[in-house]
Amino acid sequence: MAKCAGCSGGLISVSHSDTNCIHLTGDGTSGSPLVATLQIDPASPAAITCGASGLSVEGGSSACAQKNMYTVSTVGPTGLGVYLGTAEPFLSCADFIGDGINDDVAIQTAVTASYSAYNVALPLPPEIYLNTGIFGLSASVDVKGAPLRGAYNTLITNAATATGFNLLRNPGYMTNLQLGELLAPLAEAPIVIDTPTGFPPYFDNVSVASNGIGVDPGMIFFTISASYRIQNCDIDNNTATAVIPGIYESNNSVPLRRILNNRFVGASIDLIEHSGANAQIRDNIFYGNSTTPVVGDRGMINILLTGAFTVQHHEISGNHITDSPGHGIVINGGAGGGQALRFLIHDNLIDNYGYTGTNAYDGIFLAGNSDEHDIQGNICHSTQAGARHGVNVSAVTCNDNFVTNNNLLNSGASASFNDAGTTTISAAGNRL
Amino acid sequence: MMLGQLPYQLPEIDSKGKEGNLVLENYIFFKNSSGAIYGVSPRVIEEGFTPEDGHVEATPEEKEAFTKKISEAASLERPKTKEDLQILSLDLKDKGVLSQGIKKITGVDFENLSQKDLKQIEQSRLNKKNAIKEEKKKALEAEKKVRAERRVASEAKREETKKLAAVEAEKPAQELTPLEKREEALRIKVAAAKNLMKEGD
Repeated sequence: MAKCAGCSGGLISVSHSDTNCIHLTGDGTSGSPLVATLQIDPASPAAITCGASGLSVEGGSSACAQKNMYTVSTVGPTGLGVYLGTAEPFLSCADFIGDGINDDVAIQTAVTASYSAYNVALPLPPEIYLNTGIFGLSASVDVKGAPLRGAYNTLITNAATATGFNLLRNPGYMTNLQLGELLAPLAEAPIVIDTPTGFPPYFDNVSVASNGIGVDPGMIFFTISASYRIQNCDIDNNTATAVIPGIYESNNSVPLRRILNNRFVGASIDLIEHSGANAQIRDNIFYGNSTTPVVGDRGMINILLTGAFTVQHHEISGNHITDSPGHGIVINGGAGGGQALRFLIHDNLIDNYGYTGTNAYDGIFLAGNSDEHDIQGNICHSTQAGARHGVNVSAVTCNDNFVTNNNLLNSGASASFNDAGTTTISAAGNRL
Repeated sequence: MMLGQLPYQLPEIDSKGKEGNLVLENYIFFKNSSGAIYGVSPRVIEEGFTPEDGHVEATPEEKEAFTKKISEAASLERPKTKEDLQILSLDLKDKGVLSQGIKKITGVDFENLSQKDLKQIEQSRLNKKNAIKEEKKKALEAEKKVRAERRVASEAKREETKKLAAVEAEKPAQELTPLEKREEALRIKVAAAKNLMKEGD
């Protein structure tokens, strides 16, 4: 290519395909002006300076100041060879490098660094980016709500001989990550929220897989009262023998939580509530994948009250529940005098519940003080031996529920609709 | 590398890095109270990084061992294609480490290759094999039984025949039919005539 006389090293002309360094748009005609912008290599240092000889960039390995995150890499767990560690150049260019066995140390150190930066100069803790690879942990990482991002092909697992701990404690914003046991049984919930932070849990595109759990009864286990959001996540129990709670709350009072568009396999939602409100459980898919329910009167979505307070205004809609070994949806005011009040239970598809037992489980099961719910537009269908009713308002303590316009054809051996409640309204009617 | 290709990863590569060399010289390595080592980049050090309590700088030997581990990791060829990953999956299967997680991280559907499924498949094969064996055994036993029954029946028949023969042998001469009587009478007459003729000779 010819050079411009007087412009040493420069080009006479640049067309769209001549260089990666100047980006051209338009063709120079009317309405399509030719615009040139510099295409900067993101690996280059922070500043471009204008000097006597032209533009120049700063050099040196310490000039990556444009990064707004801390990066962590791993050589991969020993049990897997090092096939699935972080690849170069990302491996040795990361801010923190772990050894594949104690990667919890490197990640925890990144959390500390993020918090140090946050406390010193930044309004929020910088994000922690986990490169592609399998991070083997020997102990829990307390994320303390610091934002955590993976490359999606980032797996956090327990190292070969490490077992009996939660992988992550108190994550806040977390995305593009996979968590699960790989080289040994984990025997604890992969994620636990046990210490409130200022950064509420918000999980998006996170995959959590487990082959069973230990002390903590949920794969995602909440023991706090912070609002949270879990969306676009896969929560899978691989044991295929019994349903276990995928999201579990322990006697909480959580406002405004949202569980949206997730996939649950062999895993349920169990909200053991004290006085929560305004939960949205929408557009999730549940597949029972086993013959044993969590416990007797549970289904794939369980709202269970423990105290003498009111839990109200939950929305449970658009969920697909198939092959539940027990009920489909359970709303139980409990024995403590609590009241589940005014829930929207709309447009759920509940099929093949009662996968075990005989004449014992319902598509939608109301019990205790379960009052004033609006139950409409649901399809309940099951020809399993365990199916009893499509909708079961099971107790006289269930007051003023509105159950209508549901498709309950072939939904149970006893009767499609059972109403033992007080002043239940079912006009204009359900398809029975 | 073009802008926007990797929005979340802006690698810290200096001139050496661009030539493909590792850039660990300026890293500082720490170890925690359990002896676990991790590396910290110059950038973080420059930002005033201070290790957590109980974390101390690794010795030169420990640093060398760690960087060697990283170099070895970097020099290994990594799985690239689906086929590579499937081979890897078999390798992992042998180690008994496959799970949903590894299936997801590799992006390959290992559902049918998981250890549990393989066990189930193996068990199913075994069950089928045992069932066939059992069926053959049952068929053989049934055949033996049939043969034995036939043998017994045959023996019984033979015995019966013998008995019948004996009974037949002991049975008195049957009464002749009128035709037979006439034939007999004729035979006697002829014989008598013959005798007479002999006597007359």
